Amino acid sequence: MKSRFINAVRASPLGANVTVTGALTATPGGGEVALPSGSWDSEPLLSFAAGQVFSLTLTGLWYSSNDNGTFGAAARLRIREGTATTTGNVLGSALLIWRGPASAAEETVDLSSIAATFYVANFGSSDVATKLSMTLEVVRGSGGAGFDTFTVQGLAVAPLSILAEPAGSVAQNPDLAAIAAGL
Amino acid sequence: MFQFTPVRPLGSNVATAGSISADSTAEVAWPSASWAAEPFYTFSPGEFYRLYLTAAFDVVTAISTLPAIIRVRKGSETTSGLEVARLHNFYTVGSKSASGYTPTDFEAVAYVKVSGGTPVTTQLSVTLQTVAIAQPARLATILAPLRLDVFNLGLLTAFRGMSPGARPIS
Repeated sequence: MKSRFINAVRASPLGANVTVTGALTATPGGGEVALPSGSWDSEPLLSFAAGQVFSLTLTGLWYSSNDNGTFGAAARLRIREGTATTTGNVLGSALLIWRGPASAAEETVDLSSIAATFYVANFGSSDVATKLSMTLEVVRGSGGAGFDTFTVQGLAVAPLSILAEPAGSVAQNPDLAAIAAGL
Repeated sequence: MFQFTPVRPLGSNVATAGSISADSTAEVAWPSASWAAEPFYTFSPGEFYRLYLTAAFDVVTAISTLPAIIRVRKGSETTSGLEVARLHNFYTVGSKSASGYTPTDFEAVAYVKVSGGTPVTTQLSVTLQTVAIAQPARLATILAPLRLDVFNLGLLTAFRGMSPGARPIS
């Protein structure tokens, strides 16, 4: 008897970008920057089947150099279609809001976990094969140049990852598809 | 033909009452007796699992910011069991309010796998410890239940590149 997991292996060729050591830092005024392809431990070419919805689950850690103590800062974390790109189609976007500690010594221990899920859909009739990028952009700083950098990073105990999973068909999940970004 | 294999819930640790406090000097485990549900989970070789943790978090004394580590460990009410997930929460209220408590809720996701060839059956612990600052933090059921959900996501080999993203539970 054929296992349903065998079917899953053949029919769900998705996967994850993962790094347990990589880090990405963005600075105020420095624009959007992408995690280099070489910083990923794995950066597979993913196949998004036609007519299907998929979830992208983002995990990792982040912190900011902001130590203003009064004024915070914010950065935009994006998932884009393509490899190490800041111009590829945006598939997901999360806002990281930081209220700085009063001490610079606290900055790098003031880590927060990221947990965000986005939905994407292939509305076309052909499968889409692509890698995924992670980018970071400081969108609001308080201390001027040299302050308010943002960093996302992966550790062995808390990997930075984007896991792509199947979430059903567009036809069977029209409401989910309605909020999904198109591939 | 594309076939959708749904995620399978394995179970949940749930607490609807209780709290723990901890500072940077010692990690503290959520008491076994404070879980309303603390099931045994069986993790199978070759498959991988999502841990989804949601909880409310605050501080015990008035302080503007406080970083904390919430760990998930293998075993019941343990601070020494194998660490399978590390989740950070940076508490900030923006000002050193004398009122102290301003709870925030948070959610976190981690992945685990079995590295050996034998299924692993275990309960799971949630622990708390602060970082660098000797101020106590608190995990509590103030805003919502403390909940650790475990989902079976299927064969690890079906997800290219995922293996380093899942922590071994054995």
